[in-house]
Amino acid sequence: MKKPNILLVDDDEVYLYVTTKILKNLTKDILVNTFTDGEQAIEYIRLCIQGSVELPEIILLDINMPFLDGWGFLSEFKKMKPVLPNHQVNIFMVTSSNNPNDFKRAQEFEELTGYVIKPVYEDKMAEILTEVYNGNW
Amino acid sequence: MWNRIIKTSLALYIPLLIFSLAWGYLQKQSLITNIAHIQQRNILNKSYHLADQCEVLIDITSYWSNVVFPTNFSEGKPLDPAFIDEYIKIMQGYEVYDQLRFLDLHGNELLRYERTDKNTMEPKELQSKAGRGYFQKGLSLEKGQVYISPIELNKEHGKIEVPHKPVIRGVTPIFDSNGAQIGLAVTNFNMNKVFDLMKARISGDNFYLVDHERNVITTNLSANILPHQANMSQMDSSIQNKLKLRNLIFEKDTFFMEKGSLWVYQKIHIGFEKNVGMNRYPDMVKVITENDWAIIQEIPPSYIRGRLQTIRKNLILFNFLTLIVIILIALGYAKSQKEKRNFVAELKKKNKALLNNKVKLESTNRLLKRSNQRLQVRNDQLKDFNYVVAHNLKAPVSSMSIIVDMLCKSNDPETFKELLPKLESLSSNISTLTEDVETYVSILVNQGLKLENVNLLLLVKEIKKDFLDSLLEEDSKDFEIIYRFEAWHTLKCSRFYMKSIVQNFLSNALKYRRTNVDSHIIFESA
Repeated sequence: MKKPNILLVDDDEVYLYVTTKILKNLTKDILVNTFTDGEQAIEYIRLCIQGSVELPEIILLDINMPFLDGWGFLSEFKKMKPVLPNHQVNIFMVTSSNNPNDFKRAQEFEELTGYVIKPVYEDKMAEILTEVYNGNW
Repeated sequence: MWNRIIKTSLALYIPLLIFSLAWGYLQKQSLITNIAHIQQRNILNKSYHLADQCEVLIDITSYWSNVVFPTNFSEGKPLDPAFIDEYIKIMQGYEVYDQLRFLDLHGNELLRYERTDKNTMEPKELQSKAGRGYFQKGLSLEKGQVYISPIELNKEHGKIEVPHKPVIRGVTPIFDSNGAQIGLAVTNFNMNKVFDLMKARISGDNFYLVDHERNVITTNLSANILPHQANMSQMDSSIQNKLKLRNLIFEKDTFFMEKGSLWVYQKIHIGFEKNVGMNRYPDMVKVITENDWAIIQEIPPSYIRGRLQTIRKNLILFNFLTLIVIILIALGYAKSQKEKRNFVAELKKKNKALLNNKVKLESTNRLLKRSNQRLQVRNDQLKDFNYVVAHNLKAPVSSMSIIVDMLCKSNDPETFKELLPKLESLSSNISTLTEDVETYVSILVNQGLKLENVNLLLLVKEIKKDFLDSLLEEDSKDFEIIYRFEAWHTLKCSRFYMKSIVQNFLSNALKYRRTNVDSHIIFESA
């Protein structure tokens, strides 16, 4: 069985550490990559398209980040979508903002699979994995 | 208000008054002209009476010019008694016919018939008329010519006959069978009857028959006839003076107002009608005369006043009614003006109040606008604050929450060892954030705001020294700060705020720089 491949994009390094820890607690057999801004994440996706690295199945994306924020990442990702390999990428917007405007804006992106408010506890994370991998993780 | 009513009334009434006076004057002139024309026709009728009598006199007198007298008529031989008796019998019935005389060439009467009563003429004592004017004039007449004397008081034996009898004489030369002039035939007409007809009044008018020297021959104001030839009474003198009219310098037919009376003057033409185209008496004999009569008709002031009374009454009535209507109009106008003024005053008052309100509203609006701007700014600030709380604070808190959750669920000392420093880091972050929030709040409420000239170059260098030396000493090797303050370097601001801004710039630049490349931050004024 293929290892779950997850990409975390957030400027909060503690969050990245903790979330990675949660994911690894859930399953040892998982691949987690982290980036502190959207620009680095986009570069990573480009590498995936080129085939250098494997495209993640799940991206947990923060909204507020330096250089390229979550919205900017989504716009860039939308542009790259036609050249993406035939592979489902599930993007979850994970944010501490419960601003209704952000939620409304998020609904305009069909690329988004879900909108999750921090903190994301272990059970919530398990729920996400179950949803994406149909329990096979 | 009454002042306005009076002024409006006068403004409207004066033109109407002028108009009505002009109209009245024209009416008066028209009436006077009308009366004058009636009097002119009246004079013409009276002239015809006189002219007709004169014509009869001329005809009767000229008859004798064609009669063949005996050659010795002047020597005492009488005319055929049957002929003269028949003639006198006819003339007796003609009341005006007063005397018939034949004079020889020396002025001695050869025959004299004189009216003794209304229907009788009788022969009378012969007189000598050698000294009389009509005899002298008669001597110079040619055959067929007739001399008409002036109207005079009759004289007998050289004295004016009493009671006075106004007469006019027709004189013509008479000839014998040889064609030699043997004397003169003289016919006297008594003018009393004619004068009575001429004196008749049609409208209370005064009648004057005057000669060329404007001596009164007869008038209906005095019983005296030809007073200047007998004795002038006081009344006659007064009448004579009355006729000295300024407007009658030239003796031509006219009418005019003078001394309050209307005067109509018209000359009488006798025997000259042919010359003026009237042809009233065709086949007239040659007439010699010095008569130049005129008739003056005076319409006294009382009569004119009476006739003008209607016009005056109409004028007064018109003015009275007009004045009432005008006063009513002026009253209405003044009331409407008053209402208008009140309305305008009310409008002005309201307008003033509106203007005041407008000024107040504008002022309030400005205040509101300013307040709105401040609120907008504050709202933006609160949004920023909300962001800080939502993101910067919530993020570490949520991380802490997860870590605590993980710690609670784990008994592994390694996990504790691993996670506790993270908690410490989060705690430190929250502490820093709390300080930032405190700073932010103090900025929001403008506490300790003091504006001063701040040299940015010095400020940045000062911050760099504190910042880099204390926090990033080791990492500062590949991080450079570039200063470009050529355009300007001093700014009037709060040193505290500006320091905070620059610290934030530096903090973010350092935080988000790429560690694998050389980084720099540029401070530039433009």
